[in-house]
Amino acid sequence: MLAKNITATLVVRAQRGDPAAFTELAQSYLRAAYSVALGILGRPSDAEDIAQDSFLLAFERLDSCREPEHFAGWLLQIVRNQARNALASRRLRDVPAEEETEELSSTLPMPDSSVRRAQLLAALDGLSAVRREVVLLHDLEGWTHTEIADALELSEVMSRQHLFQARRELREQLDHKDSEVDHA
Amino acid sequence: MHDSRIDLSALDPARDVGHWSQLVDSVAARGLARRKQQLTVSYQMLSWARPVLAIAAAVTLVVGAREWLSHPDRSSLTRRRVEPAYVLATWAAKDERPSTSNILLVLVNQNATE
Repeated sequence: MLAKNITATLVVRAQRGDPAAFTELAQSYLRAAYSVALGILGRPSDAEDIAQDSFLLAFERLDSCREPEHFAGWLLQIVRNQARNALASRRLRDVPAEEETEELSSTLPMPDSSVRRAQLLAALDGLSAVRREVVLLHDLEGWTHTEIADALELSEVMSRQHLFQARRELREQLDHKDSEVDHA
Repeated sequence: MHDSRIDLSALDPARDVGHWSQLVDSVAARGLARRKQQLTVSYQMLSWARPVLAIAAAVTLVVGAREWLSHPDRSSLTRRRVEPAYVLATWAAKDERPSTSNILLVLVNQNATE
């Protein structure tokens, strides 16, 4: 994640229409947007779509980002809203993510990385929303607790606690999955 | 205490480097295009038109109300309600789209008062 002052400068430059600023902001924050969307939606393809849509929406509403140094938190709130809306409409018309995952795993031979991905997604699904976000931003995106606390409007202590609990719960889930595979 | 990082690399969207960089470029390009459109004079004028109209309507209403309150002959109020300026200001303030019949009614009233 970029330093706050650098982010703020990029946002101001983007507001003026500087092409390089758009690229740098997308390079720096699209992954985080993806992680938050994945935490809510549980499907990588959907998360990719929502991350893109949210980013475009954020660029469109850049003037309403009153505190450019808090761009990350502002962007992730847009992602959360978009992802929740997408989840609500998906629930109305679609099968749940777990069913799709189970169906895939039972009918197709999957490469190791896909198996691992399906296991991780299933394990993440058991966590609370905030713990999913914290563990994804920390362990996947490499954000610090200070950065997570700032973007998620938590205290650093809470961020650490959520991460600790999330890892513990994930390990339990993953160990359980591994033992199921061993028995099979 | 066992609290080391969990390997989530299987979920990393950037593992397919080509696909991810294409995605980043596409988002940046589309975002820039939309922003540039917003920065054009016509877009700015359109985006300012609505609040400016609303403010103008509000000012008209306030001025009209003050004038009416201070005017000794308040019987002119009924006639004023159908005056084009008043009606237009009301439509703008309420962000209403008048129907064709409403527009015709105002025009007829305007001709009648003239």
